[in-house]
Parts: sequence; C-alpha cells; structure tokens
Amino acid sequence: MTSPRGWASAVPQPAPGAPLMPFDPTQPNIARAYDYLLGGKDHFPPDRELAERLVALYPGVRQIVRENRRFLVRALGYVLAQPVTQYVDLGAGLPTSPAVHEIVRRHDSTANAVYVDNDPVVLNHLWALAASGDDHIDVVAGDLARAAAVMDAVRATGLIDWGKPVCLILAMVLHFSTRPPPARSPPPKSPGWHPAPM
Amino acid sequence: MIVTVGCGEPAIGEQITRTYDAAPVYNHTPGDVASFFTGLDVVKPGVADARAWMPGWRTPAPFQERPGQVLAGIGVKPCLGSR
Repeated sequence: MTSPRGWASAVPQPAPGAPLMPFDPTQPNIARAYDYLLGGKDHFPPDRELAERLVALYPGVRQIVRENRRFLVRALGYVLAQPVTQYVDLGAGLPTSPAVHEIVRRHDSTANAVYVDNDPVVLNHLWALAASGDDHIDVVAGDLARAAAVMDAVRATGLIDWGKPVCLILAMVLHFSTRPPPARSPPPKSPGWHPAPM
Repeated sequence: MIVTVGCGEPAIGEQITRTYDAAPVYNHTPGDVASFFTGLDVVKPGVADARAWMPGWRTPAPFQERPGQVLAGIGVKPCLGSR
C-alpha cells in the first residue's frame, strides 16, 4: 500500500507474528459495542456498559443491528445477481457471521472482498482473517474521511479494479459522518422514497 | 453502493447521540440519508426501512412504525447502466 495522501498508507499490515496494533480497552469503542449488541464475543466492560446505556434508552437498538445484517444479506444478493464480483466494505467493523466475503462466496466463489476500517481492534481481527490464506480477501487500514487515499490503497491490494463494477458497502457507518454538503449533482433518481414518518 | 444508516425520532435520536460517547454520532433526517444517494439511481423499492426493503419490490413491505430504524438502500452509478 503506497499512498502519499493519508492514513491508508501509514499503517501497513503487520508481519505474521508481529505484535497487534495497540488499543485502549478502558475506553468504549464503536465496533466492540456494536459487536456486543449483535451478540458477538469481542468486547470489554466499557463497550458493554455503553451498549447497555443505549439499550436502556431505546431497547429496539438490539433489533436494529440485526435488521441491518438481514438487509445486507438481501442487498448483497441483489448486487451479486447483476453480477458484480468486487466488494469493498467501508467501515467494516468486527467480522461477524455471515461476513460480507462469506455472503458473496455463496454466490460466486471467485468474488473479491476488501475490508476497510480505521479501528485498531477491528484491523487486528480483519488481518487475522486475511492471514488465513484466502487470496480473495484483503484489508486496508484507512479513514473514510480520506477517500482518495482509501481508493488508492484498495487498488493497491490488487483485488479491486475501479474500472469495473465495484459494490461499495457503507453499513451503519454514515451516522458517524456529518450530512453531505449541498448537492452539486442532480438529486437521486429514486423509484420511491419510503422512510417511516418521523 | 449499499448504504444503511441508523436514525430515529428527534427525541430518542438526541438522547442516543448524547449518550454515545465512543464517537460523535449524528441522527440524520430522512432527507440527509437521501442526500447520500445524490447523483445515483436508487434501486427499487427505494430508500426504505431496512425491514421493509425487499429486492425487486415496487414498494417496501409493510412494517410497524417505531421510534428508531435503519434506513437502507442501494444506489447505482448511472454510467454503469446496470439497473
């Protein structure tokens, strides 16, 4: 990964056996709290405490994270049928089951998946996954706020050709982003816009 | 591009954003979520509650409204012509 423009180049994958990236288990963490809500096993007391505070405020939070996964399975099924063979999961979070690469493999055993995240805990897990010898998976340490650097680093994996259809996945990520700037391009051409009334 | 965003009614959303201290979190309005699809063709049934989004359906499936939801959709870059 050689990008001059951002964090996507600054944190290369560690060599096998190298120490894990440092992280602070005393501070609550987005990915670990989410993993706890999903019923995963990779979390510490501050993560569980944060998640339980959210549940106390709105018990539907647990349901919401599961609905998100189920939607993702349906949505990936649609994209796979197009067909699209390249998948980039931006802000991937901790590997969960079924993971994006597992879902796409059920349809296409040669599909490529690249996971992007900026969280040391997540990266440690994803690198372990990528180290399992699967040539169709790779991991990029990158900050979505530096899109150009992330795109360069994703290209550098050799798994994604931006000249061909690529499916970007931004699942439960954009609520950590401010709203987009005012549109310079046309509004979405939508066959329907159906949010629940709020 | 597959996008899902957690959001909720302003009252509950404001409490969640205040409580969530692991990172800044924003309770986007449906209009904000729509703007993430600017310039893209949105696949049917459009941007909808994640529970109600079924591929190929003309409109979302019926669902029971509640204070929090995931808004979800698929946007396609028009030049790909893969709608």
